[in-house]
Amino acid sequence: MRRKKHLWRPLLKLLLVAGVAAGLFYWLRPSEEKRIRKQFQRLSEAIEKSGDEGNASAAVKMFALGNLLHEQIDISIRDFPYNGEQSAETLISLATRGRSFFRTISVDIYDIEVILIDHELADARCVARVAVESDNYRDHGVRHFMASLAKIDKSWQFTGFREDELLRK
Amino acid sequence: MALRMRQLGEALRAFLLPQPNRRFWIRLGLEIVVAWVFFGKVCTLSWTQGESMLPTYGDREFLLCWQPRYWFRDPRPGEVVMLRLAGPRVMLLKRVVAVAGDSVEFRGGGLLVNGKEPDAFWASLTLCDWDLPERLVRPGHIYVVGDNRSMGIDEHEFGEIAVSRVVGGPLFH
Repeated sequence: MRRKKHLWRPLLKLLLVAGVAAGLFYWLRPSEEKRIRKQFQRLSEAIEKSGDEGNASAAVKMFALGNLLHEQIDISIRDFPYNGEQSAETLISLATRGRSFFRTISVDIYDIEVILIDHELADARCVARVAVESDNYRDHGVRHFMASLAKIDKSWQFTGFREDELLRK
Repeated sequence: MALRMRQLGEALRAFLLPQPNRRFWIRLGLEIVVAWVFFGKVCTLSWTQGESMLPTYGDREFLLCWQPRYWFRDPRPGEVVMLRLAGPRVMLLKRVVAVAGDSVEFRGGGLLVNGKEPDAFWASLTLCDWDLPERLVRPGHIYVVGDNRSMGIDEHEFGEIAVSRVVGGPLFH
């Protein structure tokens, strides 16, 4: 009898710990919204550039950018010369070329508002503040975007960017 | 007299060079919290950038954004408001010209609200040649324009914006 009692106690404790762990995992796991927000953070990190960036670091960032973009991306942004359907490769090469013009690039993304269409499609409204600096040039701008995302292989990828007007004339 | 001066000197020294005791740290902590709440949530320090609000507000002017102004009411036509543009730091400074339900139009440079020019000083502060067809301001929105309408219509950021973007108004000018 005594032996049986000793066997049940650790088993109950184990079950209790497993239950608490499962509960914690369920309640603390990142929601789809959080995962999409994270993708925006990764996007800004991939575009950003510090003054002392080397070739290897730039290559890693462009690789990271490639992981964030879908094969085809639909772009509709005011004054952007490459609007329309673009391949991820085209955008990565454009980003590489664009980044080379500036010594530093900072990208801050604010007010991310995620709209989940279904389990594999989402739209997200956001505000991006971009500041660029080179030796004799400095500029910054704020734009509002509506990004479209699709879940591919358990990861959210950007499928489109279109400008979302904050002020409607 | 000499005693009083010495007492005053001691009080001044205690105020300027306080003993770092428990009371001092509690007071310092409270002061930091109060300053953080006041300057972060109630009265934000800001500087203007750009000339879209000339002649009322110039470039690089210091402003205090008083947030409680719109805690219990919506902005009214004629009021200058500060609008959240990007995060908590970047704001737009514009004048409200129309509210929800009003129609707004620019004809030959003149601002028309509900078909007539507003009888207010802010209706035409600068020369303007804008033309914009009539539009109705949607519920939950306001129509904001900068005072400097001498710049091109495409260069000037103005239009309908959600009331939820209003942060506050400049405290003084």
